[in-house]
Amino acid sequence: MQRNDLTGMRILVVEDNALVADMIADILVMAGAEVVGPTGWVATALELAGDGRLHGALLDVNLHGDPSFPVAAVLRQRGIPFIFLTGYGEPDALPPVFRGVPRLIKPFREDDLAMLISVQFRAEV
Amino acid sequence: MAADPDDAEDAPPVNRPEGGAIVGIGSSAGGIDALRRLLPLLPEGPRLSYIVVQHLDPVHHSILPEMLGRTTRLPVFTIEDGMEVAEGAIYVIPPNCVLTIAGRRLRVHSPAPPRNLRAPIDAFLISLAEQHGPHAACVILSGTGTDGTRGLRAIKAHGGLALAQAEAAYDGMMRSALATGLVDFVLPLEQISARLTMHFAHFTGLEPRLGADGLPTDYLSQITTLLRARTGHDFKDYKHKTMVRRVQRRMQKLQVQEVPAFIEQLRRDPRELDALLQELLISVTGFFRDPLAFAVLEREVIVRLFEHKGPEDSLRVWVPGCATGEEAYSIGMLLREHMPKSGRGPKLQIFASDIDQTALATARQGRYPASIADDLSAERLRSHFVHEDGSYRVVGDLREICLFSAHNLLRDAPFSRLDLISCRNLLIYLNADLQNRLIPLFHYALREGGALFLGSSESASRHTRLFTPIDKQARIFRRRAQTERRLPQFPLSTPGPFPTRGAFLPRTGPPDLTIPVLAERLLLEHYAPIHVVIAGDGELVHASARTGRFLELPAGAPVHNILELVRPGLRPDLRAALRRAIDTGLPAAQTNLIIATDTGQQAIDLFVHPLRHGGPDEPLLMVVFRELGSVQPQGSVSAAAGVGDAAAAGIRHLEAELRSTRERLQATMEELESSSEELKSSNEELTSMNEEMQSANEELETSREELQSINEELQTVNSELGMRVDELSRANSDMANLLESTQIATLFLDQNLCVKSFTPAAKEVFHLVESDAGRQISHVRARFVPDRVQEDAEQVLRSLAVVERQVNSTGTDQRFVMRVLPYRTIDNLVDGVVITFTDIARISAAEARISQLAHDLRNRIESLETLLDLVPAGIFITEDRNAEHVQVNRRGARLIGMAENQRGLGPVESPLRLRVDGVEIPPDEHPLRRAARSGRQLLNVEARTLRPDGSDVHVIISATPLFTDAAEARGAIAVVVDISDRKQAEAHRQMLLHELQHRVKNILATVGALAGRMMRNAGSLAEFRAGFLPRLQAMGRMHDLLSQGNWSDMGLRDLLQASLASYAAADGAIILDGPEVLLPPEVAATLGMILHELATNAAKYGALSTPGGRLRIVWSGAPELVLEWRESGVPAAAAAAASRREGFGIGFVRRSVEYELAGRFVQTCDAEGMLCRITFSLAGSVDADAMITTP
Repeated sequence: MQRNDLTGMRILVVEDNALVADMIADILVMAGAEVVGPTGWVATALELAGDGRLHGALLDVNLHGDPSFPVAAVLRQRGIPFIFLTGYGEPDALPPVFRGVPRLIKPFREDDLAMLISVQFRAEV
Repeated sequence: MAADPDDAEDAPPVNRPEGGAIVGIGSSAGGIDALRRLLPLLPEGPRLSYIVVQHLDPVHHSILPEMLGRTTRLPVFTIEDGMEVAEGAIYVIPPNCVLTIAGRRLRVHSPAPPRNLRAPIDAFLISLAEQHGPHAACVILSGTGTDGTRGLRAIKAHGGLALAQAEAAYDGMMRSALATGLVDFVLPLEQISARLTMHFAHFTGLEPRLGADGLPTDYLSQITTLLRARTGHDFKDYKHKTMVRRVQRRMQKLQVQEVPAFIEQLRRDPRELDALLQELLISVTGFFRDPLAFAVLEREVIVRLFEHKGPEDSLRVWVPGCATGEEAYSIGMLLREHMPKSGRGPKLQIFASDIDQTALATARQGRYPASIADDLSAERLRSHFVHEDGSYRVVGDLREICLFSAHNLLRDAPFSRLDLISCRNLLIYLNADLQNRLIPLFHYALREGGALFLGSSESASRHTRLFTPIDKQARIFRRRAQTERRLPQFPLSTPGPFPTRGAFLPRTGPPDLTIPVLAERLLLEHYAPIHVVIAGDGELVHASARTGRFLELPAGAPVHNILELVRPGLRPDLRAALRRAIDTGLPAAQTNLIIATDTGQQAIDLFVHPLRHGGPDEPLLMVVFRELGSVQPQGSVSAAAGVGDAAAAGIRHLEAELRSTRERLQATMEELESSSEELKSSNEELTSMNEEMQSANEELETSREELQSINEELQTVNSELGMRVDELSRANSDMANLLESTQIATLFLDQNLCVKSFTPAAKEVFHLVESDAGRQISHVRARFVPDRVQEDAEQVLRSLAVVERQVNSTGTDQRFVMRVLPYRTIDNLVDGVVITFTDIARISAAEARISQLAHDLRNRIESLETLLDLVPAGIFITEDRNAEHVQVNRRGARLIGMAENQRGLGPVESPLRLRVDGVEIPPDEHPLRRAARSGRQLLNVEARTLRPDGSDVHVIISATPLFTDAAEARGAIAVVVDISDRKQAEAHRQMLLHELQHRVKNILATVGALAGRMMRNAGSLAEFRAGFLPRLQAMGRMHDLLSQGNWSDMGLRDLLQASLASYAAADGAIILDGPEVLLPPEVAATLGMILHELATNAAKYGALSTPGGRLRIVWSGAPELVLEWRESGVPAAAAAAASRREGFGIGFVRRSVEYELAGRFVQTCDAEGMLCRITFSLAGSVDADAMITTP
């Protein structure tokens, strides 16, 4: 757990399924992070992504049928690292500009989530 | 020298070589074989020598002599320069040289000129002819080209013999030689030797006898008379020697020994006269013959002709005796070369005339053998000739200025106003008298200052008054202007009563009125002795004044002869003096003559002086009468001597006697003269009678000849008729065979419709036997219906139009087409009718079959076209190996973006463009072309077609070649199937698969999260199971429901009914009340789980858990959905318990509504039971504030 310590990190969670969103939030909080959100809506997520104090974000690709790419674009523009959460196996499902973004394939294990976050986001702390 | 041979005969003979005759044998391709056959036949022994001139390879050593030596017993030598020709030997030309002969010595000139200029046969034969004349012969053997032809001409012109080989392996040289018309005999090889021997044997036997004067003149005139009667040309005035020689030559050729026999032959055979005429007209001519003379002509005459001539003037040249035209064309070339380049030169006209029609035809054609290249410079050849088929043809421009016409110089009126007359080597054929009359004719024809160009042995120098020489050596003369132009009497060859020479004497010019001249005249007229000038025969030319004392016109027609004019007493003395003066050429005198005049006696001296003026042929003499003292009256002499003595009386007596004697003598002389006159006149009469009889005789001869020629004509006509008869019978038999073979029944009827003839096949359609010819057609029974032959034939005779009708045979099932048409003779006269019957049974069967097949074919094409239209693939067909022309069906047209308005196949307007893996392939690599080219099948090639509008279609192509009967590829068919739909479906399926995977994974994530949450809350595994499994099942049901609806929008009422269906409740326990609202699948899924939670809760604790419980669900419509869940009839305890249990279930509901639906959830409980209100927006946009929730 020491390794996956996310203390002091503000992480945006964008996920349209309440159960999944809450579970992610629980994991993050338990790892010591501060959760921004969660939200399942693109418009809300866009607002939150504009928040200055973010260390990273977890983005569900499909939000109530809409793709979350506009949110990803804002994050990338601001230099905030993020991870896609998706059920799509193939990278083809993503637009070419986001093919290099790390992905966490649903369903995922809690450990994987925490480890990925700590690897991807720690450098920016 | 280039002079004519006949001229050479008149001149002292040039060293004519001794020895036997020499035969030149010329051969080329195929010649060696001919020589090997000819040489063994040559006789042994002396007399003849043979020179073989064979075209040889200039490089290689020739083994020809050795080869020929084996075939003959005569010695054979290879010629070396300077070799003497021995009799009875054969000499063979070495390679690469030109051979000539001088005397009997052979000259070898090497190397030879270039191949194209080489004509060794010509070169040798020409020198042979010039050196040996009639003692030479030439034999032209097998060979191509024209070599030998000029040589042969020369041989003939010099009186030699010309032979040619018949049936030569290569007949080019022979044909060229024959074209001259001069070849004496065309013989097979076997006969050549015999002919040569015979000719020269004859020749040598004849020569001494014919000698210098071998042909009596009267024979010659007989021949010329015959010639004139036959050809209209009078050779009477031709040079005697020329005539003799040519007649002799003709006799030689005919092997006639005696002149009378020859004349007899001439009488018998008019063609012989033609041949003799041809012989007489032979002339040696060539381009620029005598080049030095032509050079002078060019320099002195031609150049100046163009001076003072404008474009409207014409420059006229006359070439009489032009023969085959070389001389005329030569002058034409000079004129063209000097014609001003500005194009402002005069109009050129060269009148070339001859009496020889054959020669003129050659001249008009203007085609000459290749050997003329020897006479002409390359420059002239190029600019004046066109090289055609091995010969040269005069170019059009040159040909146009030369006008060739048949014209007899001696008979027809001359051309006039000429600038130049070129008459070379013609005068030499004519006798001196005619020559002397022709020169004035030329003088008349030329314009002032015009030039006369004569042959090298001809001259106009005797006519110094008419012509002055421009260049004596070249024989060019200029017309003098002084004398009056007078047309000489015509025709020249008929002598008039007076010779016309008087016309050429100088005119007495206008009196020159200077004093010395006047004085001299006066002196001459009054004090000079009386004199006259006469010609040699006594004709008076000029007389002084006061001649009347001595001259007196006799009675009768006026005469000009001084011997008749002079007073009778003077005549004997004058005659004697004249004779003396002419004979000696010195002055002669008769002195102290006493003559009687009208007034008395007069003593005179008579002088006759030859005048230097005339030439030897035309002596002029001056006769001078010098009076001595004055006239003594009659009788004064006796008075003067009046001395009366005896002696005187004796003298007187004697004188008287002498006088009377003298008078008697005078009378006798007069008598004698008058009887002499009478004799002369009767002689004259006799001569003229003789002349008449002669001409009557000639007329008889002529009519006899005419009869003879008519007879011949009749014979010709007869033989022609015989040939016609033969042809006719052959045509008849052809016709019979034709009719037999065609199997077309044919019947010929005459004007009266009687049967003339019929073919065997006609017996099948009529009851006919051979003897029926001549019967009326109406009497012949037909074997067919309808039988309307009689009427049809009559109609055809009336209208002359063809009648055609189908008839059926009565006996068999044959059908015929009967055609009745008029019978037309060759002169297009109608002479009956022709009836033909053509069996059409088989034809109509075939027609029916063809029509059936055509119908089938049409149907098949129709089917095929329909198929092509219907088949859901593009079909491309090409019928050529390169696939240049491609046909396409409608679907194919659409695939390549063409308008598709045709049915079946139509041409491809724009080429099919294909891309494979994104790269356009070249047209040659298209499957259709590859199949057509390689003959191999190509299957299932995937590609994209590029249409002109830029769009493309995904296709799969298979191509199969088409083969000819010979199993060669002749084209191909390609089938192009549009697989875009299939590809799209595939992509859709792929997308669905992704979607499904995504959904499943999402669900798994949700289930995982759910399980995680519930495990944290559950006290035991049993509790977890009781809570987890129903929710999992509910999720599964919800999933089923949405899958059934294909994940499309779902009605709210349906969702409610499905969610509550598993809770069995009394009727009316559950009331659903609200409008129809469609929910998106995601919303429906979330709402489904919410309803499940509420229903589970109600079934455990609420309205659905008790029999009296009621559930009423009320909702309002869009855009904001408000759904109320009201339970009633629930016992208070249960309600309390329910409210106490607000844990996971209701928490989940609230979280779901607020988080996932961005809505609001309100739950209250009253005495009746629980009331829940769920509010959320169905529109996409929701209030952002409402969605932010805290965990």
